[in-house]
Amino acid sequence: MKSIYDLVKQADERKTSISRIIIDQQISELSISESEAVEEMALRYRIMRESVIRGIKLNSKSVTGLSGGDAFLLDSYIKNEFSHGNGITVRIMRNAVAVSEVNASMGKIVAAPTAGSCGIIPGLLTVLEDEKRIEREKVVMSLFTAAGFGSVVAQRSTLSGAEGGCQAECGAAAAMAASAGCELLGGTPEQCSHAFSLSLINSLGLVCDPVGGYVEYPCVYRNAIGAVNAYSAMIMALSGIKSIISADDVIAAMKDVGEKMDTTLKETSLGGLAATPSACSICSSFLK
Amino acid sequence: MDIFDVIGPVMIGPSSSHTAGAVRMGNLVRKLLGDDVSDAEIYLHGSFALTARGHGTDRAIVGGLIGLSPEDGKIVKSYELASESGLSFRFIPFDLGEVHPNTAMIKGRGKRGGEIKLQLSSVGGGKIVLSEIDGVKVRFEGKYPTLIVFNDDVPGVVVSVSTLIAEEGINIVEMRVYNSDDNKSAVMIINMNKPVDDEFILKCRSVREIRKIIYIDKLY
Repeated sequence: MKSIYDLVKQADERKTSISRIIIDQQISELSISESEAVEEMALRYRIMRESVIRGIKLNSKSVTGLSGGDAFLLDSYIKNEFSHGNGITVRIMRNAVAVSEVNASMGKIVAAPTAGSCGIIPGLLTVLEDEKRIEREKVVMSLFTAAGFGSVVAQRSTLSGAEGGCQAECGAAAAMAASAGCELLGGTPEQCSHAFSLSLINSLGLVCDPVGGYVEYPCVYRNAIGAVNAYSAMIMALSGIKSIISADDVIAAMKDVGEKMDTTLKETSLGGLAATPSACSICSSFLK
Repeated sequence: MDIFDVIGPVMIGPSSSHTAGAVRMGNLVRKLLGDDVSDAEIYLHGSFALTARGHGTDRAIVGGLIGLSPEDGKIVKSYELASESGLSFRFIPFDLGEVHPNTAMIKGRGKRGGEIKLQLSSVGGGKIVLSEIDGVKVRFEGKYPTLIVFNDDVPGVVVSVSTLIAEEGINIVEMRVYNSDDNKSAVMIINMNKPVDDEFILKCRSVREIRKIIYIDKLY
């Protein structure tokens, strides 16, 4: 699919969902059956689920000591403050941090779209599944929507932090999650594209400046906030709020910003947080 | 673009380029050697040299050399598994010159005595590019079933090989020929639209000028 415009138009013409358009396109392109495609995606969702559970229990630091144990802290906070349910945003943050910490500790994750941004999509979708009691099959289908939006970003811009900064990884992941969540809660294809735009406009300009070059700080916390960004954008779109700039233009803006972004802020660890005095002292103590 | 590359791959963290891609590098050394690896010298360049430990790049490459896949949790314990399987290895930080920041040169020796030297780069999203085999500059991206043919640099070899491929009813998607600096040997990289079987490889070996032939199915 070459544009979000085409994606929404096709779904409207066929009076169906974006996930249906994407799955039909994939089974013809990859010459696989629908059940094979669904099973492949269901496997990915199972691994996302497992990484959430593992990350919440993982109360230890990563190899570098730069991350670890924060999903556990959020989980304790939920147990103290929200023992009777609710607290949907803090649950989303906890699940996103959990997956991101599993990644930092060399655990198994699904790159979505990258390893650095792997907590955002599962962060939102696992909580929606639990809190809204949505059937697993529907959640798996919504991953096709996320992937469809993501592949348009890959074609028209980039999904790599080294090329476009963090907006291309966590920013894209949040926008993909927002569109998937929107479909999951009954949004129309057009609303999904607004959810995508309303999310991505809030990540434009986000630089990729990991301390020491490791996918840990600020990545873990950008996953937490990225997932909440996705939730907020999804709610706005479901309430009827529209982005006056089209999704394809927001992607074009992301590309423009990424190209203008200095190389020191694109996964080189030469600028931003990575170049602060405290980052340098943390790294020199680790490298000893 | 394959949507399972957008939601995927399933992998051991923390980095698709520094971990998943690094495993695939080790896998490729093993595949091209066609044997279990008994000894490896691993030269790490650029970002690979600077951040290998924190990203687990070292354990990932070793895991790949002993045949683990990027989603195998045993990568974390690959050093222990390597010593059990009789692989000895050394890491050497090294400046490989004007190459991609995530590049490694791996010299591997097989249990049956074969040797190979590959230069590989991890170019993002877990994808890798092979840029040098035994000192000959090449480019292999793993998108298609591929034949890598080492031959004497004499006229007619390209025709012999492409005829054999055509007889199988297979189309060549792309073919590149690389000559060694001394013009005595050449490497052909042939991307095909369909996989080939062992019998076909045997047929190719009967071409007199072919010194070595390796077949790799697409990587992703």
